[in-house]
Amino acid sequence: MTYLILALVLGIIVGANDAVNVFGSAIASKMLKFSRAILFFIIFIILGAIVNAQYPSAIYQNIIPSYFSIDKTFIILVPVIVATLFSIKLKISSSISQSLIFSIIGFAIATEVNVNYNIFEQLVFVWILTPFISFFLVIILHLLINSCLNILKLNMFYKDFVIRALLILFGCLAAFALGSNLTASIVGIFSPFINSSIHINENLLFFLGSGCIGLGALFFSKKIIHNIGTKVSKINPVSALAILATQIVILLFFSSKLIIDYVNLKFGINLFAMPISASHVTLASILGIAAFKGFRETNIKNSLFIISSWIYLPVIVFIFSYYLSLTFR
Amino acid sequence: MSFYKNDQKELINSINLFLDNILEVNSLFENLMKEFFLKNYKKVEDLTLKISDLESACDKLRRTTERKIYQETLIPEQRGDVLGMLENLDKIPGQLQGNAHRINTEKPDIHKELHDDFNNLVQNNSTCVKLLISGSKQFFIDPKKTIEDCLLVSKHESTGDKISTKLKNAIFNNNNLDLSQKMHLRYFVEIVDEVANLAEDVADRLIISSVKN
Repeated sequence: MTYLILALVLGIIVGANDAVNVFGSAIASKMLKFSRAILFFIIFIILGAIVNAQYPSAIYQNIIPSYFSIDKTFIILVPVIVATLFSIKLKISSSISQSLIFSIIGFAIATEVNVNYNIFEQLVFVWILTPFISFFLVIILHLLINSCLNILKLNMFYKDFVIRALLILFGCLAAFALGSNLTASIVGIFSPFINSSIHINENLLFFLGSGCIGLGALFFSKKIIHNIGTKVSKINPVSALAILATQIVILLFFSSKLIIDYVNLKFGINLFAMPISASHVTLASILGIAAFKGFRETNIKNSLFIISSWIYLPVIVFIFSYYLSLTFR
Repeated sequence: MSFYKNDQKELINSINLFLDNILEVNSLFENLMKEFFLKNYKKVEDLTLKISDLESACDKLRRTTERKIYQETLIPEQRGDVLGMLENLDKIPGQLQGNAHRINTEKPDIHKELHDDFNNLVQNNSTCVKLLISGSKQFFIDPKKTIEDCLLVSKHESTGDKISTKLKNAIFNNNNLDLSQKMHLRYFVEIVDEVANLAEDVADRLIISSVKN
């Protein structure tokens, strides 16, 4: 149970770190109030976790076929918690799923546990690919949303109403998609222990994990939301909608069994559900919008600072986990 | 959600009422000038009072609308432009009200040979205001139409400048008027023409806001 508490602490930290990915742009564009946005975030992150989290959770067991014992989970979780707290201190949103996978790899190498590098390579490939997809997809969605709103020729105030309603709707869908991804990241590593070392219902586990994410978002996410939302590039309400739509498409694509099965069947590939970095998708989408506007209102220095964290944070986690594993092997 | 929708409706109604009131003030001022040339001073006084009432209503509506937009954090992207537009538009009924009061109080002695040019100036300014209000209404729906209307405002303002210059020349070349009369009439030409200048200022800002949006 101690290990589970550690995971729930991570859940709170993750909530602080990741709420920005869902409602950050809507709050930064002043279309939604923080309190209202967080309420929707909590409800839908829990729903998403209960409905979908078991699929991306499977990745943890697949990457290390001979899974570690439960008493070693703190070696995996502590470096992730430290790295995430460090990134929160820097007011940047880091990728929890990446940190966890790199922590597991660090642990596996130090303890000479077999790693399925095939899955790891696919994960890294998708992690590198998703920011690029997000960068271009957000531009297409931005043009699409803008065209639809222009065709409707709404009065400015009705347009404002429609955008607000869509931001809430898209935000809830994104929270639903993120719920499965994030909860899989936090408590997913415990899934293989259910009914053996942990006597807890899997849905309850996901509920607790997602509930902690909600609490973290409620109490600690405000500063990061304002940093990502305002210091990278100016976001207008339509851009905020496009960013959310991009997230929904990418996160749902990689966490929904239904969609993945359909794509595998249709294209004859072997894609699997995996936790995607919502932080990377969000930043890449913001930069996509900024590029579309000719980088006129973009803080390049701040953007590069956040992008560099995508490289050094997993490395820090890997090294930390590796040495921690050597110490406690 | 229905709460939001009522807010939008209420705001749209307030802004439309505000713009319609400006149009009404403009039309009342046109009538006032007609009555003034016909020397119906009682009617001029009544119209001045009506203009004053409508101007106060405009002020009230503008304040309520501005407060609502900020309180409900509506249209965050455009609210600066909308507030700027409302504040600048509100100067027009203010100017018309001032002009009406001055005409009612000072009763300038406008000679018959100047009536046509004065009328032309008033008509031209009135067209400026009408075009500006049409552009302002379109600003919330079709910014392209706003730009078209606002460009016409500038065109009419230039025409107004030409009429006022012609009027001033006519006034100062009239040997039947003494200098104090000439100065008094020039003052009235300038304050009547000021309406078109104000309309042009608002139109310029509206063009920029429309391009931005």
